[in-house]
Amino acid sequence: MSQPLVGDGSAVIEPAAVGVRRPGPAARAVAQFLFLAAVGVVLFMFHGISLHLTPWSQAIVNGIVKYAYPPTGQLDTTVVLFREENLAELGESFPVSYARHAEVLDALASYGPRAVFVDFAFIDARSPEDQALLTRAICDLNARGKVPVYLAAPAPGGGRDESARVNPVLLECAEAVNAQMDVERGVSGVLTYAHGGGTSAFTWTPAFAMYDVYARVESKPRLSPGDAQPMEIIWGNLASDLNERWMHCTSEGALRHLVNILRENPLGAKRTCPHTNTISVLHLLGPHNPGVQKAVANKAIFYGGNFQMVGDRVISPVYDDLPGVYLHAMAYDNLVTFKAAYKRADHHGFSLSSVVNGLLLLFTVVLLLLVDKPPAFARALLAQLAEVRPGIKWLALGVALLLIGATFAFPTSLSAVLLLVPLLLGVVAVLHLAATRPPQPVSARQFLRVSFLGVGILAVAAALFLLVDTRYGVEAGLLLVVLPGYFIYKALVARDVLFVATSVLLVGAAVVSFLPPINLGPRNIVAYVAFFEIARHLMRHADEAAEKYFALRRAHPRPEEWGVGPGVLGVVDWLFTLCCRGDREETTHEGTTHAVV
Amino acid sequence: MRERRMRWCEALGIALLLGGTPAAAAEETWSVKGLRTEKVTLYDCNPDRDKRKPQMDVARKDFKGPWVATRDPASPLYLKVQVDRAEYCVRAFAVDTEKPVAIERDRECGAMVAGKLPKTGATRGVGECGQ
Repeated sequence: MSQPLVGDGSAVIEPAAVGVRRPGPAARAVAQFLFLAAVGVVLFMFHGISLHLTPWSQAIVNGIVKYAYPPTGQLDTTVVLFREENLAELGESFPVSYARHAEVLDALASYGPRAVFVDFAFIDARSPEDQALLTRAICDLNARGKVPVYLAAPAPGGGRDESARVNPVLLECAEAVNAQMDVERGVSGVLTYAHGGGTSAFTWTPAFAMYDVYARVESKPRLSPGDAQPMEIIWGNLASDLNERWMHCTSEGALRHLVNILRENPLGAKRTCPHTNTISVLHLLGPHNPGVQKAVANKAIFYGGNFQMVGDRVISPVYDDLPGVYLHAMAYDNLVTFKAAYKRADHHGFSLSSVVNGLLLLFTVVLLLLVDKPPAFARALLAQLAEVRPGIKWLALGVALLLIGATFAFPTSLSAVLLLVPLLLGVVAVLHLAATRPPQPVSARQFLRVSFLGVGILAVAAALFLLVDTRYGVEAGLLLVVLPGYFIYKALVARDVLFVATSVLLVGAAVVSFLPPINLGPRNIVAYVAFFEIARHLMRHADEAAEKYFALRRAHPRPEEWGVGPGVLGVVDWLFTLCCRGDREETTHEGTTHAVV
Repeated sequence: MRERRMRWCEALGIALLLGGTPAAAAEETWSVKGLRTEKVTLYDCNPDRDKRKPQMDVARKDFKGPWVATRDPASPLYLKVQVDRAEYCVRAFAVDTEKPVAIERDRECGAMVAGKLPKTGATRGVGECGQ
């Protein structure tokens, strides 16, 4: 027995006449929306899909940052590193003596830095002579306030401020700053950086304190504690000529790299040379040299240590474990690069970041419900859109492109807000596609052609990936080969225009949230796209299961054939009805109806 | 690859990295034309650099040069200087010479800064390097 069909292939809705009232299209849409939203929240909130896909998303972000991150901050920042090997060279032992620190600060002072952060926490009292020596060196460096000096302090705790935990003698010409490090996030490592705090008085963290000096000296807008929030660090990965000349910066071969990626994740093989320009204390304490002069004079100096078995290591998404001082240097680099528009992060509690994540999830769920089999109300709504004259459509496209161009030409808060217009137009376009896309006829010849095309794309992408990975690294391989390859595959082979459109929209939304005035860090777009794909397939399977179930129901209308009572069968009918997509209503077949009454 | 880089680094040294020229003769001399810090301490030139004792301080404004300087065989971080016919050692960064003092070999060449350290279940003590 077959159902009469409407134009789109779905069955005619017949009036229900059963004991258990089954949900109509609108109720089904609401139930499916709630279910998908709940699944999305669970997956994203409890680090399910998001955590597993973060390395891939992060690798893509690394690829973008590699080409888009300006060198502004890198040019202004230098790390002076006291390495483990330097201890022996200098006849020193751990912990480094106050006298040696004083010598390093003397050497720094001779090169004229703009500001200095000392990433050594001087907590315990030492001999008065040693303390006097280091205090004098700090005051000489400070030059009566001309060169601000900041000393690392432990995180506030036990009701004590940061400064209360630093040897007070040393704070005569220096300020204590909170060198607290945020927690690591899976394989991505540390992605966020606190801005400041304090139990009684507010104190900046090192990077923010150093940026305040920069802003004051360079007449840039200063940050106030009220305006600042924790930072989402963009880990720059520009090459540093200075570092490459004395550090071991080589990477493993392409094939081994690929094996590591497949065995672990794209972040399995990281860089060994930091982004921040670095000199060692041996370079600094050696004879005066124009190169050291260039690295230190009028720069923000982060003086830290790299010793074994003392902790103070930072795991980043880009580099192998680094000495902790690089975290502060990178955060400062972000501040100098983005200034007041640095990327905000707040993963805890209700925040702008969680609102944007929620909106992206909502956006994905709505698209999931509307693509493939849009319900009647959506089709009716969008049918009006189809009647819009082509001239107006072209005009809308022109306006969207103009606004995007204006945003890139004049990157201000206002232009970023204007980006919402093309984004909304994009949403409408996707919905329009979903409602009006005709089914794709497939001939035998076309099937073969598409199959060959798919294999060809796969082969070319694999070869290109190896080539690009060898020369430019895995981030570039993912960004320039894998992503475009997948898009081309979806567009040309799978002919899944809706996937491409949805992905482009998600990327657009992520870009808008990244730019001023929202200024959030990178979004995990890979996770949203993967969620879109997985949920879409699950919904398709659920729809097919419901179709099979109701076919069986038509063949076996009586409850005794199913081995259950009429009530139970009614509930099962109700549940399978929820799985139906679009307006298909196969639950009200005459035979079935009579059977369950 | 690593070996090639090491050879390059050792050949050119920090001298090229930092804009100087490779060292030439061992007995090369320089002329100290000024002090780079407000006060410079002159030490004795004890071959055991850790036992060197301060002999006198010279303020920048009291500098009466030039001083003749030579390398300190005990440490590349010091220079030997002749002050009033007496020999002292002075921290290399603290003085200005008429030409750059090139380092013969950059001992930091091939340094590993980023990398995974083996995890240990112990806390580092004090002075176990035996220096």
